[in-house]
Amino acid sequence: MFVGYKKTVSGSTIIEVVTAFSLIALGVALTLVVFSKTMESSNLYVKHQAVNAVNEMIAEQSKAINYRTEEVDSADIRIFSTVATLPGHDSLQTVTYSATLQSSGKQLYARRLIKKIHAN
Amino acid sequence: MNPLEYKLSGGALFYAIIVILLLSLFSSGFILLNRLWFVENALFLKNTELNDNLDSVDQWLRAEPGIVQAGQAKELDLFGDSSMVRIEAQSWGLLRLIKSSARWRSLTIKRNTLYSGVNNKGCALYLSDNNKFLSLVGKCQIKGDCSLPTLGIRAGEMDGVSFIGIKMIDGLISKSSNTLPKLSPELLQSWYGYRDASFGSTDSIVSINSLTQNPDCTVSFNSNTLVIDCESDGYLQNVNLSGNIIVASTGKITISSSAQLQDILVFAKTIQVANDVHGSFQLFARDQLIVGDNCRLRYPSFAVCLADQTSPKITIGKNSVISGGVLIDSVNENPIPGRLEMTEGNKLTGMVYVNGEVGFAGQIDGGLYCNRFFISTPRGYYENFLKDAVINSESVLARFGSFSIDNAPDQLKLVKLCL
Repeated sequence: MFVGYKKTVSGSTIIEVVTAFSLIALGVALTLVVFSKTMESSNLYVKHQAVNAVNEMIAEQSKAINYRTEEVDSADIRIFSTVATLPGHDSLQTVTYSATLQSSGKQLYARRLIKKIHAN
Repeated sequence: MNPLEYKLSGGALFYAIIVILLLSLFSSGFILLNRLWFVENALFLKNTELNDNLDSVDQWLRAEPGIVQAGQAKELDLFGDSSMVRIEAQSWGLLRLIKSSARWRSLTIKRNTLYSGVNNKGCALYLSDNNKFLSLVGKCQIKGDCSLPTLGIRAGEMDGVSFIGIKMIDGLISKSSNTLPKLSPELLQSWYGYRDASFGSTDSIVSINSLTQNPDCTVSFNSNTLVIDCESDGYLQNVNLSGNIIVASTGKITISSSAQLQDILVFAKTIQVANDVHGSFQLFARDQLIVGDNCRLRYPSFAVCLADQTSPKITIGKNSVISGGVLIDSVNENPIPGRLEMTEGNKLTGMVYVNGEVGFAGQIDGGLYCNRFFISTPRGYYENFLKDAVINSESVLARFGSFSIDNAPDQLKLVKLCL
């Protein structure tokens, strides 16, 4: 008679192990989901790239005092500027700068400025 | 007792709960990190947006100074989508002080900016018509459009010297009237009280004696104006004053070369600037203003003499520079002619408005408005003569803003951001 075997593999112990394993698996899965979502939503590297690219475009146009519609592709990011006269003000223009992720179309960064129209 | 019985009884769940607790700690950390990144990102974006809005208002004001007049406050919706910016305009001497602020939740960004005025149709020389020729002698150079008497301009001769320049005037010439364009009464009206020691209701008034205890004083334009009352006569030495400060006296104020003055206004009956004074400030004298030798009053500095009973007079010593503007006028209904006496090596920048006569020497980068010129030599007194004069309204320095005679500038120029 194997009395010891009967005690060590009791039904309740098996259920405990299975439940514990399930819980740990669920916990790990949830942690991984939260981790990936956190990393995905921050996407810091791409955002920094977009911010730098937009700021560079603004600096270039400001230095040349030439605000114009322009489109530049940099890796997966598309940076573009649009110019429109401020309604009711002939001497002012609204310049909009935007950076979007080409693959998803998601806007990463945008700036809007009012600039004086300089006579050529 | 069998040892295996202890190892397996109910332990798995206990370990699982510990592991899950650890995992939940990790998860909470990531959620917190996500939140922090979100807040940081939102703050960064909003901070940029608010600064961009303030920059936009700056551009708007420069192009259209009329959107807010001195003494007014306004809320501007920049893009029609509730991008609100509040602007408040005041005059600070002959400059315009704009206080702008933009807000998002608890984040508020404020700016205090000084602007000067620019008129598109400013001329290099406006000489009122007093039925006399304008005579040029020596190496005169006048660049820019001019309004001159009907008799016009000619090459003169003085003490054996004649005109040796290439071109008398490099610009268009039009006829002037027999008086100067009127100075706008609003230009300086709000400052008249300080000449009589009747200060503003929100001013913080202290005696000049307080400067002995606290000689370094900087006041933000967000605070009340600090008025240093000198009562009768005052002597500014070994002090460092900057910002929203007015020094006022009903008598005479002397500024020593040891005084470091920045952006402040000085009001007195007579103002004397000693030799070798350097700084950037505005002087408002009632009777007389004397600037010593080798003074460098950096941009934006203004020398103003507005008299009501006597003849206003400004004298500028040898090799002294005033960058900003000079204004001499009378607030009397029957104006008493004023006088500007320049000496060798003087350099003035900006608008020079003299309702009276000018003893010209040196150089002006900007525009000169006056009734007549005089030169006094041992051999004679010459009226409406200019000798070796340089007036250039098209130089880089001339494009710095100054004040607008009609107080309605076509454009504003950013002078500086202040505290």
